[in-house]
Amino acid sequence: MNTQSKSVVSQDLILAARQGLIPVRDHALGGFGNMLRKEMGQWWNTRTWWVQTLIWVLILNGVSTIVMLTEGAIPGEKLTVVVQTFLPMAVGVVAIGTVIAAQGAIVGEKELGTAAWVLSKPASRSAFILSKLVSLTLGFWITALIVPAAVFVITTRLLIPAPLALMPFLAGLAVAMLSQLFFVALSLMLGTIFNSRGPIAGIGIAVIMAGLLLKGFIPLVIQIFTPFPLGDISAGLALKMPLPSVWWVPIVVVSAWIIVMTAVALWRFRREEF
Amino acid sequence: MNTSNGHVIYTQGLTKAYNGAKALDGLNLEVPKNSIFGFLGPNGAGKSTTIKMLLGLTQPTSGKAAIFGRDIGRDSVAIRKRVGYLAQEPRYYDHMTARQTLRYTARFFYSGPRDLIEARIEEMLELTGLRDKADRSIKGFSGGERQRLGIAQAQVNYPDLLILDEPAASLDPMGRHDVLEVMERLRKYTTIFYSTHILEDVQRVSDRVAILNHGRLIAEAPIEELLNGSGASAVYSLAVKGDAARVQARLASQPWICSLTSEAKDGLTTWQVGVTDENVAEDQLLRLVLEDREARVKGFGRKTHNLEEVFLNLVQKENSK
Repeated sequence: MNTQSKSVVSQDLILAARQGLIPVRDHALGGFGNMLRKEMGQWWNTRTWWVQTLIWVLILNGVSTIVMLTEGAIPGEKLTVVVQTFLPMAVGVVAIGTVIAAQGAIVGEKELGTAAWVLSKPASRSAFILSKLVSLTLGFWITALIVPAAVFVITTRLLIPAPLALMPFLAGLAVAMLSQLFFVALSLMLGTIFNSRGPIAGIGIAVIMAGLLLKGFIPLVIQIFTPFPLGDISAGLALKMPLPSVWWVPIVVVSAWIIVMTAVALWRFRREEF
Repeated sequence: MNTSNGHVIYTQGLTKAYNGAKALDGLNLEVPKNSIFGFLGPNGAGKSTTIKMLLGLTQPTSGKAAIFGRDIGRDSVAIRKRVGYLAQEPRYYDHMTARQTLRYTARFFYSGPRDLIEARIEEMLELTGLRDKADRSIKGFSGGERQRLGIAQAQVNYPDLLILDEPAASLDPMGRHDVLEVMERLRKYTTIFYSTHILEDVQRVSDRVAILNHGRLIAEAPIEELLNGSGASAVYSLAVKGDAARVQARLASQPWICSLTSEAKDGLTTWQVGVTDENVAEDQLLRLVLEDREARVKGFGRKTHNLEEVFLNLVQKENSK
C-alpha cells in the first residue's frame, strides 16, 4: 500500500487559495482554538456565566456575610472565623459544583454523537479534552472563586474593622483554585473511562465527602497524598497561621494528580471508539 | 492527488471485530477518483463500521487502509482535512444555529479571512436551502433540515472526498431528489463514497457499487456490469410462439448454454437462457431458434437486471452458503 506522506498540493488548498481562504496551520493540538472558543462561548455568550456567578455569590458570600454579621465583637477573631468559613467552603462546595457540571462534559458528547461529529473534522482528540479542561477551569475559577473572593474582600473591608492581608488571602485562593482544577481533571478522566454520568458523579462526590467526613480519622501521612487538607491549607495561608511542616506536600501531590489524571484522560480518549 | 494505485480509498484486508465477532471481515476496496461509489448492504452489514474506520473514529482490528495514499491510522487528521463527512444520524450542538454550526465547522479548516469564511457559509446555506432558517436554533430542526445542514457542513471545506452515510435515508422524495442532484453536481470536483439501502438512488447516480453482507464484500463492480448479470454468466431472454418442446430440446443440447428456465403463458413461451460464452450466444442463439420454421420469435435480448434484483440475489446466495 502506498502510504508515503509526500507533500502534495491538495485540491482543497487550491480551491481555498482561489477563494482566498487561509487553511488552518498543522499542529499537534489541531482544532484546540476553535473548540476552546466554542466551550468558552457556552460559558460567556449564554446566561451560564451570570447564573453561575449568582449561585456562588449567594452561597459563598451569603454564608460568610451572615457569619460576619453574627460572630463575636473582636474584629481579629471575627476575621479569622469568616476566612476559615469562606475558603474551606469555597474548596468543598465548589468541588461539588464542579463534579456536577463536569460529569456530562465528555459522556454527554459521547452519548449525543457530537464528539464523533467533531472528531470527523481535523480536530485532535487531545485538543477535545484540553479545551474542556481549560473552559471548565476558567469558568469555575472566575464565577465560583474569583468573583466571590472579590465580593468577600469588599464585604470584609466594609463590615470588619480588622485588615485582611491581600497577598496571603490570594495565596489561599490559589489553593482553592488548585482544588477546583483537581476535580475538573478527575471528572474528565472518569468521563473518558465510563459511558454514563452515574459513576462520574458518584466517584467525584464520594471523594469530596470522604474529605469532609473522614478527614479526622485519616492519619496525616495518608492525608497529605490527597486533596483533603487543601481547605485548611488555604485558610491557614490566608491568615498566615502556623501550618504543619509538610503543608506544601498536598499542593505538590495534588498538582501531580492533576497531571496524571489529565494524561490518563488523554490516553484513554485517544483509544475511544465511536 | 496522491492516491494508492490511483485510488482515493484503498483498503486491504480491513477487519473489525468486537469481542471476537467480526463486524467487517477482510474488506478489499478500491474507490477511483471522481467516482460516485455506492456502498450497499443490509443493516448490520458493516457499512458504517467501514466509514468510521476510514475517518479514524474507530480502529481496525487488522488490515490496512489508505485515503489519498495516506495511512488512516497515522495520518488521520491530515486525511480529515480533505474529507467531508455526513453521519447516518447527524448530531450537532442544539444550542447553536445552522450558521453557527457551519462557522464552527469551517474554523476547523480555515483561519480566515472572516468575510470569506462567512461568504462560504452563506454559499452552503443557499445550496442546501437553509438560508431562511440560518439563524434559528437547530434544536427545532426537522430530520430533513438536519440532513441538509449535514450536507452543508460536509462540503464547507471543498472536500476531495465526500463520505456520506445514508445521506437520503430521512428525506422525503423532494429532499432525496435534491441530495442526488447535489451529488451529481459535485462529481467533477470530488469523489463521493456513500452508503445507502435506497437502491433506486444508487442505480441513478453511482458509477461503481460494492455490496457488503455480514461484514464481507460479496460484489464490487461498475454499476453497468452488475446490472448486466452481476459479473456471473450472461442471461438472454427469448420469447417464442410455436412448439416449445422442440425449441427447448434444441437449446438444451448446446454445450454453451448453462441454464435454461421457461415460462409459458397464452401460447407464448419465454426462456431465460444462461450462457457460458457471450460471443457464441450472440452469434448462434437467435439463429438456432430461427432454424425451426414453426417457431416465431416474439422477443430476444440480453436480460438486464435492476439493482434490487442483483442485490437480493447476491445477498440471498451469500446467506444460503
